Amino acid sequence: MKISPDRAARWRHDFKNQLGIVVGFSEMLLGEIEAHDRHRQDVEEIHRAATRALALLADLETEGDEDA
Amino acid sequence: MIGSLPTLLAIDDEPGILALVERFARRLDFNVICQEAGGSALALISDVRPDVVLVDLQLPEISGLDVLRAIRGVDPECAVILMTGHASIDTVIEAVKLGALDYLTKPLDLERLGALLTTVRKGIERRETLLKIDADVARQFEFEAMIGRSAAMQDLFDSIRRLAPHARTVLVTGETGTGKELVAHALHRVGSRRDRRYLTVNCSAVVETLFESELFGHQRGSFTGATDTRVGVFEHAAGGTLFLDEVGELPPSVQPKLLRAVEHGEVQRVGSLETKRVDVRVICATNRDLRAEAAAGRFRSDLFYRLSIMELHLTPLRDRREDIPLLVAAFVRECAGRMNRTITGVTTAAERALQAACWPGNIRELRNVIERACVLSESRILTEREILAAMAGSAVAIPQPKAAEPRLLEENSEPPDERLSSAQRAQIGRVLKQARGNKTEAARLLGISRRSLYRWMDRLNLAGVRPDAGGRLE
Repeated sequence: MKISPDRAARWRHDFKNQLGIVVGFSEMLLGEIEAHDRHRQDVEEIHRAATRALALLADLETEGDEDA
Repeated sequence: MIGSLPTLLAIDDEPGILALVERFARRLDFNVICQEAGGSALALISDVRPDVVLVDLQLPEISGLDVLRAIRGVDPECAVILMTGHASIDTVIEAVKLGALDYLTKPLDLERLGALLTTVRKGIERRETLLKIDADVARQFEFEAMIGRSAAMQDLFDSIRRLAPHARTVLVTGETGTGKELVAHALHRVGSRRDRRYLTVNCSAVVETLFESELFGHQRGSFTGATDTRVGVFEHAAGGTLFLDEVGELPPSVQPKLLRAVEHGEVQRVGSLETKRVDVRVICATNRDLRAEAAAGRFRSDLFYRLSIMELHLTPLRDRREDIPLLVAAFVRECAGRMNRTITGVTTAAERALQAACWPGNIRELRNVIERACVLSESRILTEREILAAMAGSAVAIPQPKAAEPRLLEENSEPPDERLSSAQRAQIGRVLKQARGNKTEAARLLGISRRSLYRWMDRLNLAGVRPDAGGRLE
């Protein structure tokens, strides 16, 4: 399926926003919960995955730019 | 500590971002207002008066840069932080030109946002601390409802302390609005007559034909309408103080009688042959040059000399500008208290405008401007815009050419363009002439430091201004 570059850019922008929200909230939670809290590891996983997803998105953007 | 929480207005079309910013800024003790569109946010600005705005660059309808421009028009001192998914050099430059505090890329770096919000909070705290110091200093330099740390005011307070216990007559002179009535009241309050009567007669408000009766009283039937015997203010104030305001307006027919009352303590009611002795301290005030009036034959010389044995001259506000911050702090405190509002003072830019104005109506005018600004304002600190609006409402605040002057000379600012430069040259030239070439005095009149004055003269190539050249440039 082919999509227009404008639409692709908008999707990337929206996607980045959503991931940014996940990273931001998990970051705040990590600042609030104690080191020995049983939820801490879970939140760390969420934060790590969302940060990784943001990095992937950045790679995708670079590749898209190169293809163009 | 800030009197109430600082306010952050967050604008983004993504509700999740707003929720994140709200949660984060509340933790930093900010009051947060969220808006999803630029238009609705701008409608709120003048009511909400945020201390800081965080706005997304790419908003539907109105862009973040347009929001920034509009905020600059409404409240130039509001800090604005832009955020965007894609920062381009052009938009960054434009944002910086428009005075944005910073530019954040998404995903938001919360640590950096936190540092920026802390900067904003510290700026407010610093300003409020300074304003509190001004208010405290004003209290220290308050004497009988008058405020002044300037040498002129300290001398005046000393004179009042010295004269109050002894002087029988005092003439208080000074321009309109300089506080002559306060001085008269202080002389009464500080002296030994403080528990006796203090009466005021405004000589410009009394009908000429009734003057004598007002001052000295009348006997029943002494003239048409005199249905009862009436005591005049001199007799009424016996043992106390009588303040004759605007004494220059006293009709010539009454002047010899006043002289007799002041010199010998003798008064005679209209229609009575009996002379009564009264012990009254007489304080007179005028904004006219009574010496010139006497020389021109419009005021009795003997009365003038009798009244002016002790003369207190009040310095106009423009010649004691160092007192302006204290007066402003005191008036803001007074107005805020009366209006039951939390207003802590004025912004730095507003203070500069107040310092640079010429104040022909003196303290009364300054007080009116502050009062008007307090009524107009919704914020905790009165802004330059509110102060200028209040000045515009003042009949005599700043003549047109001067209205722009407070903005023309700013410390550490660059001459912006040729048009302004010529206005600045004219202003500096005029003030240098007024100060007879004395740079220290000229800098004081302009409300800037001497170093700044030299810097401006250098930039504007003003080294050749001769004090006797009428402010013209060579």
